[in-house]
Amino acid sequence: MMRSLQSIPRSWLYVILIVLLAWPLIKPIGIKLDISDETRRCYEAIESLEPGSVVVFGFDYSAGNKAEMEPQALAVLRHLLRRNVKVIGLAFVEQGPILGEQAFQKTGWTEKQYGVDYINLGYRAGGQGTVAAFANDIPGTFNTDISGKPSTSFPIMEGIKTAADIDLIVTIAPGTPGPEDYVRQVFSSYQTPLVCGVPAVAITQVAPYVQAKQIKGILGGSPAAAQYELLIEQPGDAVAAMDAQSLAHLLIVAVIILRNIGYLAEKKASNNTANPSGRGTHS
Amino acid sequence: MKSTVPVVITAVIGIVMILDFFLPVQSVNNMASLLQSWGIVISAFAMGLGAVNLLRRHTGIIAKGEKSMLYSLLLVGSMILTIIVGLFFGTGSKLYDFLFTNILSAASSTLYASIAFYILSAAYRAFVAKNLDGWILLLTGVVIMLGTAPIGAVISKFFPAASQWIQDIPNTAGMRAIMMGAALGVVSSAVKTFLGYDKSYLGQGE
Repeated sequence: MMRSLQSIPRSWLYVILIVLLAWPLIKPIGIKLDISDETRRCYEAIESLEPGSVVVFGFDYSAGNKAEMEPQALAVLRHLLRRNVKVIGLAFVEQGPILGEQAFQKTGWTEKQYGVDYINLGYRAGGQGTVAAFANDIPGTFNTDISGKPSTSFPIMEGIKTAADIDLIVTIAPGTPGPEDYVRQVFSSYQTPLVCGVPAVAITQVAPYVQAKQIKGILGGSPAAAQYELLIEQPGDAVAAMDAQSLAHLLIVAVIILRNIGYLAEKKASNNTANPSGRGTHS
Repeated sequence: MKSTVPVVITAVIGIVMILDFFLPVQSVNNMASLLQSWGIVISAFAMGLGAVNLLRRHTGIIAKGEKSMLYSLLLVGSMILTIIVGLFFGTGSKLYDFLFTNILSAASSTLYASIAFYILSAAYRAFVAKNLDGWILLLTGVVIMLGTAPIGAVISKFFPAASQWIQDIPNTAGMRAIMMGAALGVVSSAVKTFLGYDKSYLGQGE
């Protein structure tokens, strides 16, 4: 019995995982979701924006991590739409512009006036160096929008020169360029408030900047996206995925416990075999 | 001369960028902006160069009829198709959007999702506590996993609280130390590069 706990076939584990992921997606359990302080800080940063404020939205994620990052982007964009602010979308990741277009469509931004209420400035290559260039000269770095028209020809860009003219930067970024680059190149020079969305595994990397008050708040992974959806009272994909994530985490914890019980039992058995009398070897 | 000129160029550019950060002098700021624009152009060229290299490498594999030529065919075919659609129909076209959403996005998300299976398998095979360090790692992992999923709070409020504490105190302290160490390393590396002690970026050893 204990030996079998040491060698559960991988295929069994995979089947159990598929069932545990699929079941709550088909029939939601409705596990209660608490709102974390970090998510609430992000929400409050956006809630405090005055109508007409200018927000730069960095679509710095790609198709590979869309599943984890897009729910965050959608939830924040929906909130921004409600706050009646202006959004300048841009990307330092090559797939960002098309994902930005999709996000604008999914959240209802496309019903607003393009170039007046929102704009998509597309992608610029160069990583951290380009983030610095953006901070110093926004219309110079992003001189055209996604369709190739001069960015300065749009009313939304009037009076926008450097990062000092921006009221808030939101970046949804699983890697680099990401929050750290914005802190180094934008916040350190212009003190523009920054909110970011990162995958759950990257929270640790960004947390020191939040404690140092260089980032106003972080959204970490799908749980934060789900909490944000609840805060804006528009439950979406992230809330639906939370039951599945909970059960998957529970399964991982369960297999770790089972494996260790098996290991300890086997160790005890091998000790008994080596020393059947149970006495020490020294007389 | 062959190595001195690039070192001088590197040092001058590096010093201009540092001065730009600390000095509000218009001429220095303008110079830095110009250099940053050049950087963007060079990065864009580098992407093009990468694409050409990829194409050359894989057309070579196809021409030689190597074992993996099927994958190379698929890569080159997808690349050419995407370039044609992007150039002739535009990146905002429905066809481009279709390719992105139904092929690239779907395939990438599938690969990303498969991590869950690797994590489960790896956790089962490798997460065995054989000593005190192993137990600390295991218990921390369990607390974080339960603390970050809603089920943790349902089981006990201890999990989210403990998870937050681990992330806020020991994790952040460790992360800060790593970041400060890395920053000092970057400064030292920059000084070595500016002074010409480190020429590895020119394809030469120190």
